[in-house]
Amino acid sequence: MPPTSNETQVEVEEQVVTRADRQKCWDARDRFFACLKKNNIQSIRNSESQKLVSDKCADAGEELKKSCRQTWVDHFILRREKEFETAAYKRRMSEMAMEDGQSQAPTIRRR
Amino acid sequence: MSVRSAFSASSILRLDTALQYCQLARPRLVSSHDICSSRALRQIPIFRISLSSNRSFSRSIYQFGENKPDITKKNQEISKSSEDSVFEDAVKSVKRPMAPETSAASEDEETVVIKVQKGVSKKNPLGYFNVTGLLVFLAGLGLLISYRRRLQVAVDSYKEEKESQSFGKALIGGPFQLTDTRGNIFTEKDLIGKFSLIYFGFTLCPDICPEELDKMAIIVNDLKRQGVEVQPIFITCDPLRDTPSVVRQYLEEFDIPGIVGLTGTHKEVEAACKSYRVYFSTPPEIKPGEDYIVDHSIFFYLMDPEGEFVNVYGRRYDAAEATAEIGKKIRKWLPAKERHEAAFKKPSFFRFWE
Repeated sequence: MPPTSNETQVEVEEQVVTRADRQKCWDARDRFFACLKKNNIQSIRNSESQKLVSDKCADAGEELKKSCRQTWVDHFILRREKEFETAAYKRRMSEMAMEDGQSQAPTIRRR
Repeated sequence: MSVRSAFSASSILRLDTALQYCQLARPRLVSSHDICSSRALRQIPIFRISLSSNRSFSRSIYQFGENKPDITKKNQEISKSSEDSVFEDAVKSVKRPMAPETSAASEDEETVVIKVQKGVSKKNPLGYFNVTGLLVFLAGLGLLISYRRRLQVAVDSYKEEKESQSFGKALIGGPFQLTDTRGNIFTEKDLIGKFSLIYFGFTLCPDICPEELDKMAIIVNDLKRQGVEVQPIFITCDPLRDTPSVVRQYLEEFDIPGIVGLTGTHKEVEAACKSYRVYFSTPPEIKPGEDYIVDHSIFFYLMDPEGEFVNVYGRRYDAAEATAEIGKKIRKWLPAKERHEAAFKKPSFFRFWE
């Protein structure tokens, strides 16, 4: 029984992201993040750093928006933020462990 | 008397000989102490003990002389003459007459000694070496080694059994009904007959799914090169946008031989994801033109030819590790019936002859 795919085909236009599209988007992402790193911008959530971004990495940001879907851009930025959070959390944990007199930081179990 | 009771006949004989030797070597001994300190007599320790423990002999020795002998002179004499020859002469010469009981006892002792010597001479010429004993020893050794080996094998297989049972009966997998890229219905019954590696994703996935599908390509191709056939399956979590033709076009770009791409209605996909315990969050109702990202769990599910769950492989496995793990699992795999029989089989270390 073919499912309701006929309906969805009518409603939603078919979008297939090709490998080339993905690669183009990923390259733009890497350039944008390299620019952020060069200017020592970590989180781009607050208004201060957003001003910095629009000053220093405006071109890269524009390119990223052009090359990628908006949801992907949001995803990449969110992922980067989470990585910073994780790094900060790990640092805090290891500092706490050092204060407790333990020589080793607790290993965080990952699945 | 006390000498006879304390020492054997041979020692008495030696005592006797020594006394004779004393007479030959030094005619005038003053005391037992002198005899003890004399270098020649130190070679017969029993004599010294008997002298110190027996008064009658000591007394008899006193008669040999009242004057203290010149010890250094006598020692020189002894060292000049061959000591062995002196001893031999002393042995050959007639015994000093002792108490009659002593001589009788010495004869008895000698006969006993002869009997023992006869027994020794009749023994195996190889001494204590014994062929039967050696065979028994070797057989015992063989049994012991065999037992140890079988025990080790049994313990290892038990451990393996425990390891593979660590998941228990996983409630992963189950009935589902989806549509493949050619529009045919695909259910859990189509998994039966071969190992399958299932991945859940969606075609508009920004980064992780394409990476994981590239990994899947390496795994499946490497396993194929090793002679292990695995059926790769891709199930979308975004049924609204991932129609069969979209899934087909998407998967064509990945070098995964024989991959089956599955999609369906939202309900069907939801049911399939539920049976595989896959979390996903596609908004059920999307306005046309609205873009979204599907959040979902990212695991490879290895299913066996009976459609039962074997293991999951997440992001922490790289392609080579996952290939090795999956290959190991597949080579060790047994049908459920054999697994059950193996679990209730008697421990094999009771059977040595195998």
